[in-house]
Amino acid sequence: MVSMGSNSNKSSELADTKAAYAYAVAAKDTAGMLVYAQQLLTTNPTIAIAQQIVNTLPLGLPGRPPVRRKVAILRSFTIETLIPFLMSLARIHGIELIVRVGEFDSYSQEIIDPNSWLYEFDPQIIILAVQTRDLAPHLWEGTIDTSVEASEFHAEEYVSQFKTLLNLLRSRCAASVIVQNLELPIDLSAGIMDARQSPSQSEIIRSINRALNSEALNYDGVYILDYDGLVARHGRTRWTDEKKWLANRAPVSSECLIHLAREYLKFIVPLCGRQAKVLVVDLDNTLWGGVIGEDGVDGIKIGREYPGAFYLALQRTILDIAGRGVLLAICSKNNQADALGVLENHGEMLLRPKHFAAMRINWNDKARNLREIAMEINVGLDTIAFLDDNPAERQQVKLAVPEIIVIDLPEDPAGYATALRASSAFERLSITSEDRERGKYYFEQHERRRLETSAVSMEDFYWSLRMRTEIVDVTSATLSRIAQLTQKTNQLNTTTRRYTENDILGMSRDPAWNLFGMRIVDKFGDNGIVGAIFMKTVGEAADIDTFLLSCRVIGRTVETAMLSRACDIATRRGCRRLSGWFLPTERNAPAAKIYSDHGFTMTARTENATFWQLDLSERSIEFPAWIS
Amino acid sequence: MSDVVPQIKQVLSGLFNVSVDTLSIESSTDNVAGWNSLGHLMVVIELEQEFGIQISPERGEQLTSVARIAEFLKDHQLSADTSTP
Repeated sequence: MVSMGSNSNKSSELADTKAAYAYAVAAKDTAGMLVYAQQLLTTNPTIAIAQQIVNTLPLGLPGRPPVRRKVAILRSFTIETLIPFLMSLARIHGIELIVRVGEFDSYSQEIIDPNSWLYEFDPQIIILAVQTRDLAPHLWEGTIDTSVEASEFHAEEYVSQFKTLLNLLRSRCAASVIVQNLELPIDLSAGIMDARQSPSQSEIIRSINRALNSEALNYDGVYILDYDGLVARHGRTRWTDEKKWLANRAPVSSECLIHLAREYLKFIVPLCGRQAKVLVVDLDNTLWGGVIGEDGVDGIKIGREYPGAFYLALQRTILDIAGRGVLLAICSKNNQADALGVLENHGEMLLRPKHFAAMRINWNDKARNLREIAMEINVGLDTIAFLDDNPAERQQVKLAVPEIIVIDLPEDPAGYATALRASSAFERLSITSEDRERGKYYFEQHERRRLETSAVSMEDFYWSLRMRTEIVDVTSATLSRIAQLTQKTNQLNTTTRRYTENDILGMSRDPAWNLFGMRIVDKFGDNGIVGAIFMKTVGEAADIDTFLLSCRVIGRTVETAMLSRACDIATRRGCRRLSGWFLPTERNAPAAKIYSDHGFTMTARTENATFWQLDLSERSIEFPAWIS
Repeated sequence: MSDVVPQIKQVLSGLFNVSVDTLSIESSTDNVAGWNSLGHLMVVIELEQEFGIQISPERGEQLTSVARIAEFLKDHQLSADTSTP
């Protein structure tokens, strides 16, 4: 290895990552390839690596079908060296780009000529990559010896040329058009006197950019890429390689090529519909410094001082992203009460419970929680982005659910906000009214939850849900769902007995058994079959073999409705008692009090199980008035 | 001094999508498909990135074969090694 001045740790890490990528390719392990491809493009973005990723990384994932787009780049400089970066970055998002590049400085002819390759190629995306020194050489080289009139004339000419080209493009093709604005030169021709010049060189270039912005608003699907801002962010001197510009017409330095590719991608990702709809965030050491369970409310770091300010900046960024129409959710390994305490009461927090559409604050693994969040909000996994300070958690999610967009954070919290802002997953081309409606909808749903926890009585909350239930029998239409419930329900499940479809079919044909499921519809929609009770008549008792309810609807008195129906059925069959075992597991604590809460008495117990009975001649269970 | 030839072959293999085995010290702009003028710009950029160096247009023009690149890198490495204490 030749390593010139770079430390050997870094180069051996790089070699390891390269080897890990190659291994993942050989093993056809797409999740692994994605992990290492992203790592390589972050730590060592070279053309050869990008090219290798383009050649080897598969496009599709189980939950993320590939997208293919034709991109035409009309340009005034050598841009070919950037294309491997653009294609490899797109591939990581599951986007295959077919790129064609125009001739040098021929963008006008290519747009004007109706028979040019451009229209034949029929791209979905057109990038107009023209730099100031090519489009407006007079302004680039300096205005110090130019009259006001001449400068303004030039400026107007550029803007009107731009309008002509856009009109032609819009009338001839439906492609989305990304237009770079004009960058300022590194040094101004009048030096520090520029601001006193009339016209000032920087001011006249900025005025063209302002005109471009407002012109673009007149067209559908025309977007301005703030090239000047991009160059400034990375540093004008670092951005430019004057030698390569002169020798090869390649003005962007080797190290900055990937930054331009990433900026293009910020437009391409939303144009391909690959943006994140939900940002799921961790809590400890992400939204605040420290661990709430260990450091306590007074020990965590959040606020306007060092180092809490870094976490506050991240929260500000998260709110900005939410303002673009992205939903927020929480996925944290924590005690819920501790975490909610901070969200609700800590004076320095910007993010509050009302900002989150879903929360999973528990000790389950994060991949599982993220899947649940996707289901709860009803979005695809490929629209979920995940933000966590812990590289191990990120890795687990990347490998377990490769569709999820995982935001990599640097070790130093000072860089958190910048890292999040750099992600193309949250870029929006515009904020549609639909985005606003979506926010409102989730706010309302959140309000429902707030209602639940506020001082308003629980009965008011139950009434407000406008729940309707329907008893369903075991039929060919319901069998598989009922069997699935016995397979999957862990929490509110008194006995956790797993049954196959055949088992259940057998029971349903046996006259001693009585099986029913319960479907529930509320004002938010149809929840489907969410619970089931299997009873067997034994002498004078109806014994509940299985009583389960999906965790989605726990805490809404649906369980009372189900037990009430069970009482009715038992009475009709001439039974005098309703009984059932509670068999505790690691997961079914929510079911522990279900019988005692409903007036059953414990009549037997073994080492790890309890047996409960309700005397039907003495009492029954009332059907909740708010459920119809 | 380490042998840079395998590393150069890796670079070319990645850029032009050819197997490392087909490359040799004699591989050059004359016999590697894709190593045209644009391909050559990529080779120069890649060498700059891979080795963290800057290559002037004059030197870049001369780096038209694996042998010439290896010679250049060895010289460069030598001067880098001697310039650091």
